[in-house]
Amino acid sequence: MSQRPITEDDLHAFVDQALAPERRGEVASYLNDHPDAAGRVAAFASQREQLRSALASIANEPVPAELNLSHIIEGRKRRPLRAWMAIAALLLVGIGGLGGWTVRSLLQGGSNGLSALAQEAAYSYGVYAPDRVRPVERIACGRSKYVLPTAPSSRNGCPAG
Amino acid sequence: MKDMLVQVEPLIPSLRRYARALMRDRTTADDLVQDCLERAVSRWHQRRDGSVRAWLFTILHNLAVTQFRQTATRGRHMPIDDAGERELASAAAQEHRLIYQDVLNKLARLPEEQRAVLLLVAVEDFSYADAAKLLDVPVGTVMSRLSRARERLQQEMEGAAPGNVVELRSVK
Repeated sequence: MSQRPITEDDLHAFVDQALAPERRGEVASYLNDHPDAAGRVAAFASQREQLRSALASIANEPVPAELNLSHIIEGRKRRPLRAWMAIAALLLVGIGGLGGWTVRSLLQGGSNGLSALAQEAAYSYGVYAPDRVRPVERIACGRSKYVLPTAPSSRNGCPAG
Repeated sequence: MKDMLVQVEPLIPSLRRYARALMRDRTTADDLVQDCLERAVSRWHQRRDGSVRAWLFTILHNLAVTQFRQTATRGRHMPIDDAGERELASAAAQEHRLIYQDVLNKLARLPEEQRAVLLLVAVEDFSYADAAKLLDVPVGTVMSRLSRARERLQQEMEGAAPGNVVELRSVK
């Protein structure tokens, strides 16, 4: 007897008809000699048959509409369209934003009308407001001071005399 | 898409059977199969060469495992016994249906891992190696789960006398 010992796996494979014919014969002859093991194998085989019969009816039911593969594929095909719509929407928002920005800079840099005036006013303010040496408002009575650059300027009214 | 229809459509009944036997509840099972088919459609080009059937069952099984985890954290949507009783009531006239229901009730009491192996091997006819690949476990694990599932189912069947089923129903 040089054959491999029968394993538990062999018994299951016997039940599931997964053995090569030669091994199957070996297991069968083993079961002939071992009624305990044969009993278990018979019980497992009966389980298997009961399970298969009990569940067979499910596989024979008509397939419900929501599991109709053609419908699922159809639904899938329609979905990319929705994706394209999303991309289009994003693109439109992008174009809007970019356009708005361009127009804004154009309007700001405008060289005519009210915006030009405002721009000039802003520049003038920027140039003259911080300048303390040459105040914009001068008083007429202190005219002599303008002639002499060395004299200290006074912004607090005319000096007496 | 055409070859997909040809290859996948004939497998839908067995996917439903596996999902139903695993989840027990018809709606839950069919929702799972629907998810599975949608994934299959969107990932059809990603699948590797090999059995489409094993690929589909792998997707379905992974979805089922996710569902089990969610059920474990959120609590069951519908008590399993209620589902069994409802189905029992509709089939009460036929005695052989009762016996089948009995097997299914006992199957439902097995741990999910064991139930999955038993179903894949004994009902869906996957080889041990394919089942192992599908469940992402070694073949040895498949064999030990199969063995435990069968022993336990056998104990349950021997433990329950034929009258017990009826008695349980009247108590409920």
